[in-house]
Amino acid sequence: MDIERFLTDCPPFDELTEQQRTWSVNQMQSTYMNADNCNEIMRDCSPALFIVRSGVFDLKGKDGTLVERLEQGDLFGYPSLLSGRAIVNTLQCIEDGIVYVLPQVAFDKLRNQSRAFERYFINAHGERLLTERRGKTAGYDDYDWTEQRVEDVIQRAPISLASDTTIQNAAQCMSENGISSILVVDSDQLVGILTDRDIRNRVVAKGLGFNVTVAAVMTHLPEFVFAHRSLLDALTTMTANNVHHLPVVDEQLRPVGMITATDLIKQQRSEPVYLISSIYKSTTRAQLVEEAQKIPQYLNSFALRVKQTAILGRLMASLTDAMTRQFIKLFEAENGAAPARYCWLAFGSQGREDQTLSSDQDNGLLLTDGLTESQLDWFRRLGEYVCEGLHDCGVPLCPGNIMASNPECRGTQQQWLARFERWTTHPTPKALMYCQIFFDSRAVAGQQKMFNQFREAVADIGKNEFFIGNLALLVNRISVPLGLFNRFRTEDVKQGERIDIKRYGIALINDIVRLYSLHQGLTEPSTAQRIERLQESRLISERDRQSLLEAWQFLTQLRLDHQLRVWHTDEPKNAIDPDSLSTLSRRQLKTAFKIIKQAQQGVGLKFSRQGY
Amino acid sequence: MGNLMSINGLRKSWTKHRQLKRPWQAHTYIAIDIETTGLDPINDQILSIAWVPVKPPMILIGEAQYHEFCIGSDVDLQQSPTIHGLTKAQLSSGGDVKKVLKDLEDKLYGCVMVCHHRSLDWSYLRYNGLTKNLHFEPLGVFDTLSYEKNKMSFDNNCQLNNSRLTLSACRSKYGLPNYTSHHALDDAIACAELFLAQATKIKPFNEKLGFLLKQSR
Repeated sequence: MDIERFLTDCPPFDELTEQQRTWSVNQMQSTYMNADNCNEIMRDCSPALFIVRSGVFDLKGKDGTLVERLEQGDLFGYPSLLSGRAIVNTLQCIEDGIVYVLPQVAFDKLRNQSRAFERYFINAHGERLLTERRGKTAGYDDYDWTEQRVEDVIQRAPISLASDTTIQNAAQCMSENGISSILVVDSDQLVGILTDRDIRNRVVAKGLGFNVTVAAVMTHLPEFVFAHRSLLDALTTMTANNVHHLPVVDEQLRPVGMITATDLIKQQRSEPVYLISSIYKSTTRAQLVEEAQKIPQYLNSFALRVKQTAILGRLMASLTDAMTRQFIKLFEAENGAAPARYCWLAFGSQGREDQTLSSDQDNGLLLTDGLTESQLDWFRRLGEYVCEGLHDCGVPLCPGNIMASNPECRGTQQQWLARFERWTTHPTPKALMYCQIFFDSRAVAGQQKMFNQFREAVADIGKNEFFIGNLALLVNRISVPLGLFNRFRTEDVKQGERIDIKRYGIALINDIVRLYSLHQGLTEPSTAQRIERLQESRLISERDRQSLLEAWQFLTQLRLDHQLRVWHTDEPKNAIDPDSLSTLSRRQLKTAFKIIKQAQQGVGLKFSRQGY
Repeated sequence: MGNLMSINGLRKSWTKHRQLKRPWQAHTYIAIDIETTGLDPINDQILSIAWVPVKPPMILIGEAQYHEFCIGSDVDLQQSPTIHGLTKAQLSSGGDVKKVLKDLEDKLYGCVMVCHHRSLDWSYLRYNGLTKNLHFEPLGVFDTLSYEKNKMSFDNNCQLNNSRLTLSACRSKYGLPNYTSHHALDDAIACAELFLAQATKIKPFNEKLGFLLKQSR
């Protein structure tokens, strides 16, 4: 029977047993709604669950604002079923159609009989639809070890000693604590690391006395990892530097612990580490390019194993980071070490760590003052070498030329800051577009401290209210599609009607979150991290933060699934066909758009008064 | 007035006349679909029959009926078409046709029958009524096909092509979804929906039943 088939693909009815579904069909009535009768029917039947079989209706709030555009497979009326309050919303008919009506008694009985049915409506009522996941979509691993934070894995308080301690005392301390490495800390700052191996190779083997100080044999200024980063990041750093112990530091660079390769192996279930390490092991440009060719295929199989695909954006960024560092190393091998301190910067999606298979390069170089012509030339050639290399590895060149190969994108802190200053005080459309890329920055190679200084200065510039107001206006200029099937809302791409979920979804959330972050002076580039840090902000509520994060995760997942499917085709990489989605995904996509629209209006109210 | 018209008949005719003057929404409709082995009610047989009551603006899906009949005694039950889960218990043997049609007779009394292509469904009912001594006496018959045909010839004055008048073609004109199965129950519901779509568009909104029936002759 048609209605039964329809309900089989209509969550949460898909969760019912066949018997329960048949029973519910028998409790239903069907009606034809048009502009003349829709409100009357809704009033007369309420409280009831309404299921749109065909047609398009706009659900409007008390004040006449659009709450939701209802299309095939959408449900309405349940808030009043659950709360017992009378319906206050009204319907506006856009296109006549068939609507099924399930009365309260039947609805309550199904809720009692099926937990999944009950849970769905509780979630939907609490606008938590994006957390609904279906086991049937399969392949999800409930646990993703790489996603864990370093700080959640390190078990003990940092064990450290001062650099003037004797080796004997250090060894005693290590054996008392049963550890194979120890942090060396002077006045709260990490200055080095000492391992069993150092004692063996640099002290005993060399025949030094036990009274030699730690400072003389330790590894100075070792690689480290921030406590809030993921295990994947720790792993990446270890593999890149061929070390097995990594000091863990907080944001003020104070040591908080140590993480070892053994810790990681314990957590390990699946390992993107092989791909990353094979990139670091490449000794020639050709070899590196060859390794990079494996990435799309690898991502495809990896995507099936991870729970949150946000991790894939970060994995892609980690891979691009790895390639960048390796190209820099190869360049240095041919052209000598860098003639001065510098920092390789990643912007845009690589900076935000939400890179996809189709993201293009956005990078630059931060240089020190007073470089000579020949030093500048070294950096010019580095920029060109790396950008071309990345291109050969499949990371497309930036059409806007935001690349270290462009002289505009190589500058001293002063030069960079002057550009930021110009963009923020003269917010032309182009300047604002630049800001949406350049404010999301991260250091990939070179001097982290140099970057931190730069980034903090950039954050100060970004707090300019006039500038934030203009960005808020810009964000509000994009009209979010609330319905999925209405002709004028979808982008007319050659394959038919599609919705660009990057432009109308992910990018808008990035923009909205960036606004709050600029206002708050945050330096994190990634949208998910920014959302988390924004709990310090008074301007955005806990609930709104959570909603934005869920919408962002959902859209990122949707885009990735789509990209993996169309990777070797001509299909657009960011535009999806709403007809190809399951009913649940369609409802979730609409929920996400609704959240974005509300957030958009929120930043409009909060910030845009300062603009033009 | 002669013996043809008894007092009873007069009362019936007067009641009917009064009913036809009431707004169409005040009536109950029974949308019917009959699947048969052919077009000739005398030699062909009813395979299945389904009906669903409509009390505008609602289609009472839960009260829908579906019956399937075995033809002859040599037909293996196992080979009869798959039956919808809802109605498994209602599978009837050939002998029960009368019982089912008797139910329908009761249902139709005082209601309006709705079907797509009256001449087929109605002729089967009439023939079976004669042979089984049943009296199908609906208030009237609303034919969704004729209604659409009249409307089109009125609108365009054009030559009508029958393929433009199938149930699904008519439904698509009202933006109704396409049901792919040819199951009597789906078709009865499809027909009921089409009827509601057609009737709801008629102005004024509370038009008399008599007017609707006239439009679908």
